[in-house]
Amino acid sequence: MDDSPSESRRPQAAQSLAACWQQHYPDEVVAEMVGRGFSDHVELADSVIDPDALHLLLNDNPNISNALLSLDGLEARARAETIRRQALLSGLGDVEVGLTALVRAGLVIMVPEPGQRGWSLLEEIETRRFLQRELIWPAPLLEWLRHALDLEAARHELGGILEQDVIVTLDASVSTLELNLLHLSSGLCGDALILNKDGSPNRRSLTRFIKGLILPGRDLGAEPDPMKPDDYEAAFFLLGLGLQLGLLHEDERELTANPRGLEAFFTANEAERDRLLMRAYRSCAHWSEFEAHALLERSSGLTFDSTTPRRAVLGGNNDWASRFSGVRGQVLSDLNKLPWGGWADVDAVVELLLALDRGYLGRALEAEIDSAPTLFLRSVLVTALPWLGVARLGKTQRGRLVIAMTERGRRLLRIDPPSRPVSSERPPPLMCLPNFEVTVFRDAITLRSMFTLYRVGERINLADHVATFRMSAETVQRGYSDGLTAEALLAFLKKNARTPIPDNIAWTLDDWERVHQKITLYARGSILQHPDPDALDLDLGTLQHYWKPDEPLVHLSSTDVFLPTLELSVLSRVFDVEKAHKVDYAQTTPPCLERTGELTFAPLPTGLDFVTRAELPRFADPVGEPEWPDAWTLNVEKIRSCWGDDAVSGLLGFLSERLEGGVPASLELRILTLLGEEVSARVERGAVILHVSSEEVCAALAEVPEVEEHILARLGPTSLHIDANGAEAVEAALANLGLDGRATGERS
Amino acid sequence: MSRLDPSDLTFHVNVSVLHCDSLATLEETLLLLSALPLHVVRLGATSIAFPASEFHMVKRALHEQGRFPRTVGKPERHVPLAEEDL
Repeated sequence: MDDSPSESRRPQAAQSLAACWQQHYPDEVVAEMVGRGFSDHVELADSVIDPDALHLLLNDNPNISNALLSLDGLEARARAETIRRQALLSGLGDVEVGLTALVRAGLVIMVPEPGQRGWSLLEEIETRRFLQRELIWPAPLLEWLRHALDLEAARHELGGILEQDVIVTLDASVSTLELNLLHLSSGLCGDALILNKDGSPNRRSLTRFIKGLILPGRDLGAEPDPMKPDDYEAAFFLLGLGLQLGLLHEDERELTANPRGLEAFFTANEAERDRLLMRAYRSCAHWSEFEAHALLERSSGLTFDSTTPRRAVLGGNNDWASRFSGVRGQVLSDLNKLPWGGWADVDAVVELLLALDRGYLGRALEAEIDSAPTLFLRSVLVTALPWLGVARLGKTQRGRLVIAMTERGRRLLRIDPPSRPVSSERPPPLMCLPNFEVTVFRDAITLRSMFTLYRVGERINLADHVATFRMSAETVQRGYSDGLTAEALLAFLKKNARTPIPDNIAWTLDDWERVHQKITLYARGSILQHPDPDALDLDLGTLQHYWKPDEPLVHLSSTDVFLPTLELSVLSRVFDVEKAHKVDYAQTTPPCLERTGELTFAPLPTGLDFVTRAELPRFADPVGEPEWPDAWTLNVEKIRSCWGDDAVSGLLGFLSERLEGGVPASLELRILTLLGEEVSARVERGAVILHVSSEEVCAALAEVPEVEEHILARLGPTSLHIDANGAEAVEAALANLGLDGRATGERS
Repeated sequence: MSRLDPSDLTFHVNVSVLHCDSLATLEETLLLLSALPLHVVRLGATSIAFPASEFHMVKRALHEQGRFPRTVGKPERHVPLAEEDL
């Protein structure tokens, strides 16, 4: 007899098995099981677990090894179907046959239904009803069987996944995802990511924003490159998730951060963030699992049909992607039903999910290729879940692709219950240096505190355990724009710092706040002007009753109000917008000047636009006449100083846009002479020919009414034939225009 | 409907406004902006207005002087549309 320590456990194994039989099986069931009568349960159990009997059983049923190995890690009691699924996940294959043999041999006990009477074990096995039942196996028995059948030696041959054989190929965590979301969206505060016409992120624009992201499967510090397909897709996924979480906002082919969304997410507790993350992934219409086809093709060899929907966009319409919401919900729910232990075979997970799915995926995806559900599921497992930080990927020594849920991933999938806030004492997470650099100990800091640092600083370095932020006038004042105050920021730093805050930090934060509060910029809107302050006030009161814009109305003066809108139609309930004078600076502004003298101009009754008002003093002086109190007269010196060598074209261009009907010919000629352009003309007495210095001048002169009425013919580009009777009148007109109109020859 | 005569009513659309806490700050800011080709108009004692297309020029000038004012609303796009990805 073998006296080894394991052999000494045989009696205990027999006793525990006998006790189980007695507890769960009527005697007639036990008799049916062994095919004979018996007098003592323990004696019978001992004969069943005899090593020789066990080896005979193993020879007849080689599958029992897999089945027994699949019981490892389970707590002596589990539903048969759960055991079967776990075996599939852990690479042991389908153990149904082995389990059947174990139940048939009485080594695993099938728990009958409560109150079940007159039942037959063989019948239960034959009808496969036992798969829905709970099975139990006493721990001493399992230990004995493991020894008697030398299961550990068999494990390697059977191909089960061993923790020590797995090489992690893609490590992930939800915390990394959150840090990436925070980093990306903070970069989009006050700056915009440009989208292509098809709604995809523009790669050049993306380059600026993905610096510093920790992309899946990449080493810390490896800068992402949007020109690489993997990096681009991973960034696309983050942006899609950010949009769905409300961290980002898409408008006019631009993506920007949504400060309210950032605040809501990054200050929420972990359980709430988990809920929001799962909801965002489930309903994400901006990214699809088919998107990552390149990654999938590499890992699985699956190929795509051109009809497979895969391209989602960040802007525009993604109706087709909305059906993914239901599909993802189903997959997440099915994932929750699997008995996750350690590492699981990806192919087996896909197989189990397909079995649980019963054809729903194929119908819901409406894909025209049969492999679409497999492709989708595989993509969820090897892209979406690792990118969400829910799962890690690895490879076994035999090259099998395996997946394991992360600790927080198990909570996100509700495999484990949500975490409760732990009130463990953490050391203060940061140190603030006099040069405005803040060193952060990542293990000690909360996401909420990290969010505050991103609001007031720029992350300049990231290592495994430490990150460094730099505060500057710009970053801190940006934080003040978000509603932070110097007092609150200082209190935050003091509360979280391991060392005292340097004095220079405290007073500089105060100084930056003082500077920041001096000026407010209102980026874009409209200004309403009316000369009657009282009536304007009353109407604005009425307007504010009907219209509640996100940003405030700003009273600039008693007659000027800034309105935060470009859409004047929203004001039409109160103001007669149609009849009012409108000046849109994004378009050509309407004429606003009239000529009041030879070289003087005054505003039209509708007033000057802002550009004209700002430009006039640069080349004209106020006339100051009572008749035209707002009139301006041209100043040659100022004109030359304003436009230099382009004085004529500059001034004519300016006036032509602002005078109704453009610049009249006479004014053009007057300006030419005013600015000393070489302009001359003379009257040929007798023939009465008018010679002009240039073609342009000739054309202009021909339009001057006093000259035009005496022109008989045009003699060439620079000569006009004048009616002899009108020669004097033409001479006078030339003199008035300041042209050299000296006549030659005798008067007729 | 309004009590105002619409012929006296003017809407300047697509404009930006810079509002200061005091006249002194406004004077200081105007001095700072004076070298730039802007179309700035004073409105009231402490504000200036200018076409929204000049917003980024103003903002950049302020940043260069270490002033990072509170910005309300979304400015006009200031970077030209990047070349489309192929």
